[in-house]
Amino acid sequence: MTDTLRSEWLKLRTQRGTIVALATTCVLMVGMTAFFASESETNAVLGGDDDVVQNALTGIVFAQLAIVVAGASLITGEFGTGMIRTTFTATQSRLRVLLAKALVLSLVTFPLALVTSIAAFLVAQPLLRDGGYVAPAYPPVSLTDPGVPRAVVGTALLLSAYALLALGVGAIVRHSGATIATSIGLIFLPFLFLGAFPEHIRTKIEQFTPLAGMAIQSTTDRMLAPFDGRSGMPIGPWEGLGVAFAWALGALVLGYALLRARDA
Amino acid sequence: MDVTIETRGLTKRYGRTLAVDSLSLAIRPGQVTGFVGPNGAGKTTTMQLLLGLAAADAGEALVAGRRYASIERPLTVVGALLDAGALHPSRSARSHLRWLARSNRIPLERVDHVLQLVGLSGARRRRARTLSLGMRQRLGVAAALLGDPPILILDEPTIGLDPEGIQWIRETLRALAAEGRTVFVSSHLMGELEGTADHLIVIGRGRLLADLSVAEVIAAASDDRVEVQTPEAPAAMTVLANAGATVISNGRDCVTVEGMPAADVAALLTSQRVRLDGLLSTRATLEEAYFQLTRDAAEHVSGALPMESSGS
Repeated sequence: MTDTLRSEWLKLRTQRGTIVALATTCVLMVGMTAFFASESETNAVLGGDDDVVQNALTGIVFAQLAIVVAGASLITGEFGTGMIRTTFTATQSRLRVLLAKALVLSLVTFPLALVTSIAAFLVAQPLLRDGGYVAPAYPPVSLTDPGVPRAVVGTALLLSAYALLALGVGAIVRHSGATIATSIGLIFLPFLFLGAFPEHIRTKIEQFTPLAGMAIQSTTDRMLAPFDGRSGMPIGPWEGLGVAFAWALGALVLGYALLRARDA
Repeated sequence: MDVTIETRGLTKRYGRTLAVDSLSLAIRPGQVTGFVGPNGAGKTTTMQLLLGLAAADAGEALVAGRRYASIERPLTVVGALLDAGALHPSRSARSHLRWLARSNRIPLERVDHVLQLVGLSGARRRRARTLSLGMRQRLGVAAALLGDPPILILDEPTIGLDPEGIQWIRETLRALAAEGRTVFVSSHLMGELEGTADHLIVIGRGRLLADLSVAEVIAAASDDRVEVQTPEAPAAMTVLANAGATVISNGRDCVTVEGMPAADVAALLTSQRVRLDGLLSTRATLEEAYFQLTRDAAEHVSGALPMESSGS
C-alpha cells in the first residue's frame, strides 16, 4: 500500500491539470469570498442577524467547481489516455489503487483548502467592515470565536468531500467531461435551483443532497444565509457535512465495485 | 523460476462475439514467440487476459505459473507494452517511469538505466505530448524493462515505427530472448516477424490456427520448388518425370519441378547429359507461408463448423 501511495503521490505532483485545478480552487476561494464580501453591505445598527462567518467563506460556491475538476482529473485522465491499464498492470488491486488515489487527494486537498479557507476568512473581515458590518450590530469576529473554527475547518472538509465525490464519480463514468458534469450537477445544481422548488422540497434538497454540507458554515439559524434568507436549519452542521461525505463514500464504493466488475 | 506463459481453454466473450475461443498456448523462454493474426483476431484481448486487465469467461491465463493478479510486484516478473500512447500528456518520460518504479518498489536508478537502454536519456525531461511516436514506443519498451522482468509481453511494438525503429525493436527482442527471457510479441503483419521470431502462434477469430517454429512454417509452404532453365526442356521433363518428380512445363526453355531437392535435380540432369543453363530453388517468404497457413486453417475451420452445429 505504501508503494501505491507513493506512486499515486508522484502522479499527482506531475499531472499539470490537477495542479492547475488545485491552484484555481485557492484563487476562487479567496477571490470570490473577497468579491462577495466587498459587495455585501448592511444598515443594521443593532441586532443584525446576517451570518458574518458564512459571509466570509462564500467563495466555496465557486471553489467547489474547481476542486471537482481536480478530484476527477486524478482518475479520468488515466481512463482518457488508457494509462489506467498501465496502472492496473503495476498494481492489480483496484481497491489499493482507488484507496491510494482517495488518500493522496485528501492529503493534498484538505491542508490546501484549510489554508485557503483561513485566508478567505481573514481577507473578508476588513471588506465586511467597509460594508457596514461593525459593532455593535456586528462585533468583530476572529478565527477563535465560537463557531468560527468549525465553519472554517468544515469548509475545508467539505471541499475535500466534493473532491472525493468527483473521484468516485470518475471511477463510475470514466469520461472526464461526463464526470465533471455529473459531479457539478450533484453539488451545484441543487444550490442553483433551490429557489425554484416549493418549501418542502427545498428542505429535502438541503437535507439529502451534497448541498447539505453547506450547513457546516452556518453560525446562525439559517443554513445558506448569504444566498437564501430562510430561517431554521434543515440539518445540523456536522450532520450536513456527514451527508456530503456519505455521497462521496457512496460514489467511491460504487466506483470500486465497477472497477472490479468491468474490464479495464 | 517458471518463466513460461500459458493459457488453457482461455475464452473471452464480448457480447455475442467470441474474442478468444478456448485458446491453449504454451510459450517458452529463450526465444521470441510471434503472435500473429489479422486485426480483430484476439491478440490484444489474449494479452489483456494474461495481464489481468480483462476477466476470462472460461479457462486460465498463467504467467510464471500463476494468475497475474497473484504476483507480488508484478513488474519485476512480467514487463508489458500494450499501448505506447497511453501516457499522460503533461508528464515527462522520466516521471512516467518513476511512478511506475515506485508502485513496484523498483530502485529509481533503474529509471535512468532503462532510459539509457532505449536511447531516451536525452529526452527524459520532455513531456509525453512532445515525444514522437517512435520515442513513445521506446518509452513503452523502457517501461516494460523497468523491473528487469524475465517475461515480456509486447502488443504490436513496431506499429507506426520507421524502418530504423523497427530494426531497433527487432534487435532488442533478439537480445532479450538471447538472455533467456520469454518474449511474446504480437503483430498483424507476418513479414515484420521475419528474422525476429523463432516460433509462431497464429490465431484467427480467437482460435488457434498454428503453433509452429518459423523453420517449420516456411518449409511447409515451400514444397521444394525448383525452376530449371534449359534449352532441352522436353528431354529434361522426361528425365525428371522418370525419376518421380512432378514436372510442369513453364515456357519453351523453363521447367518447374516439385518434390525433388535442387541438388538432386542438378545431379540427375548432369548425369543424363541434359544441358542446364540455370537452376533456381524458390523458398516461400514468411508472409507467403502465413497466407497459405491462414487460408488452410480458414478452410479447416469453416469445414468444421457444420459438424459442430450438427453435434449440438
